[in-house]
Amino acid sequence: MNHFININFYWLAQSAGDAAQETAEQTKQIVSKITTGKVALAVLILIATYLILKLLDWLVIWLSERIARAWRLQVKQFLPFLRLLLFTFVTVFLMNLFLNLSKENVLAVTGTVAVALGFAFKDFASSIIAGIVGLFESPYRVGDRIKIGDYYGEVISYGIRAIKIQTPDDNTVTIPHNKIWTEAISSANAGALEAQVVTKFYFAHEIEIKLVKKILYRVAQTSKYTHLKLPIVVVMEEKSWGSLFKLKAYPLDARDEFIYKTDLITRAKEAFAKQQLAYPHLLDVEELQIK
Amino acid sequence: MFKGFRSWLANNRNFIFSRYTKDSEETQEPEQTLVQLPPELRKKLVEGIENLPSNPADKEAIVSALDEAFESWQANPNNSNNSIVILSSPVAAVSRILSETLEDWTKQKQIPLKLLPLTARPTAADKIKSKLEYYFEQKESENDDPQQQPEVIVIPNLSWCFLRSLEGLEGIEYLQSLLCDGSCDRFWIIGGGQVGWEYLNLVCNLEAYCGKVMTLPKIEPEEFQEWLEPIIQDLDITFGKPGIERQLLKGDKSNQSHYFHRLADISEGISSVAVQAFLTSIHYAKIDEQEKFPENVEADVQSKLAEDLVVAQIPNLPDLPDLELADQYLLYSLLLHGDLTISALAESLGDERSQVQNRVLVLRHQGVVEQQEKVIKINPIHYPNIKQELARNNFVINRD
Repeated sequence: MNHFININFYWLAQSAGDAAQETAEQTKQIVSKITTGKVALAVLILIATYLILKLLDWLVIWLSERIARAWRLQVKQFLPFLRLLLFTFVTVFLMNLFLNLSKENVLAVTGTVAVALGFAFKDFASSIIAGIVGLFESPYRVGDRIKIGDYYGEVISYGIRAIKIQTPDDNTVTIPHNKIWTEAISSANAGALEAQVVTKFYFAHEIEIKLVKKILYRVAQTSKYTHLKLPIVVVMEEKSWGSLFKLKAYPLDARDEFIYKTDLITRAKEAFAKQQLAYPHLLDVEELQIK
Repeated sequence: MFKGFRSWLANNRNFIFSRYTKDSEETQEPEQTLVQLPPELRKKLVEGIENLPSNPADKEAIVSALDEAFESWQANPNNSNNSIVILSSPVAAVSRILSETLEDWTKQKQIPLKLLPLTARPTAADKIKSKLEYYFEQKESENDDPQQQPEVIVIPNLSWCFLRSLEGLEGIEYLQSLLCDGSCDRFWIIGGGQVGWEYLNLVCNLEAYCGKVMTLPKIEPEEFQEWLEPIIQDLDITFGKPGIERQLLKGDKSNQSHYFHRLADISEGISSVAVQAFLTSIHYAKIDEQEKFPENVEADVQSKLAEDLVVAQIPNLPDLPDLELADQYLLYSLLLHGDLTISALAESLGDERSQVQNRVLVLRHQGVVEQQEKVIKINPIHYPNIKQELARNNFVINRD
């Protein structure tokens, strides 16, 4: 019995050794076929790809900013798909150029590449895979106003590895796609042109609630930025230091979020001043902050 | 990009189609050089247009709707049928159309008519309500008679009763209270612009307080032709030949018929837009005396052709210049109110006066808006394109 097992082990070890030798031989053959001409062609293709990518980016953004506002996001969201298409095409072409994509070659190379990627480019590969998954799952799209971690802003670019968001302070933040595996992503408009804007107003307890609500509704209804076909809501909460009112409304364009908020606050405060509505006492707020 | 391509196509249309349109057998008329109208002729044309009465088709539509609503109210006076709202495009002078129509209508109905004496929006938005109160409460005190006679109240332009600002909507709230709780012996005729009406419905739900709402129908090509006939006769205007593509698409009609169909198309059946398009389509055609007439052209035709002609070319709307976002907000405000002074416009936008003034000057130079004394309006010829542009950019233009 033991003798039989020993023979089996010997036979398996010999088979594995043969397979490894065969793979090494195939890889050697593939590498030996890489010529200077092929390398030069690959470099040219990479340069052309880079230029086409830049052109695509420029063209899609240019077009999206010139067409009707309602179509802006749809056009921008087309960009990641175009980029993916181009990357796929170029990758397949280059692989075919160097590796002569037969079944055996693919098997031989993918094993080697998988090991290399697994150790050296783990995060990079994870981001690329997350980027591809993200294209179909759509946790964010170009034009969306999203919050990832501490960063909030408009997605201005969807790359193969990362997205770029523009913050309200006009900073551009690059965030790798692999954040979608671990981080919660909050999208204010999820592909739509409109995003709700919540503006907070603080008052002392003794104010006349109906008057404040009427002013807040009117402020939203008479703002040039308000999308009137979407709901305007005023909600309030009682706090120990006073009354908190939240005016929830939608601007015509999510991009106007901050200027819209400013407009609402400016005009509301003018009206509050006319009505002499009392704000919470500063001392109380400071006490609250200390607590 | 598409706009550029479209204008290129329009500019080169004659060249592109010319090789297909030349018929060697057809008598070729001598070349006409189209030039701007001489000042005196232009003045005459403008005066003719200014003196035109409101389009009879608009009047007929109003009278028919008025009769129906008024009879329904007379049969059963109550708060749900005691008013009719007549809506026009924001670039039409609804107050003028209404006053011209009502002049004959009241004589026919023999009923006292009280016209709200507002010819413009009160300068201060917070004074709109007090002005309305003053007028209507004065009327109440005049009619203290317990056996009150039915009366018709006319608000010639609802746009003058509000401004999109915090205090500018108080006038509308006051009117709502009158419409809802006022006397059943009052019948209200209210004129207004469509965009302003949509806004007031979204903000104040005004339609719920009113009875019948009618929108002026689109004017038909034949009605435009009949309306403009006195000017055509007076200036002896001839009509240019339409392009071959138009002839192929629209069939074999007279030049005049092609002209008025095109006019009705581009103006969307709105008189004020059509009038501007008509005005810009009129040119002065000078016959080149050096050109020889073909032998088969008769002598009297030759003498007729040898005279300088006033020609109406197939009308077109001018392209809308590229609008900045700030311009879109400004133009929407003008559509909402019909007409505004700079101060009122600044208030409705929530912007500084100087800032608004700058944008208005730019838009005036581009011909998009026009200013008459202190009042700013949208140039009617740009209205169809502005409306389309704003609707595509999320602005509330109509109910859809």
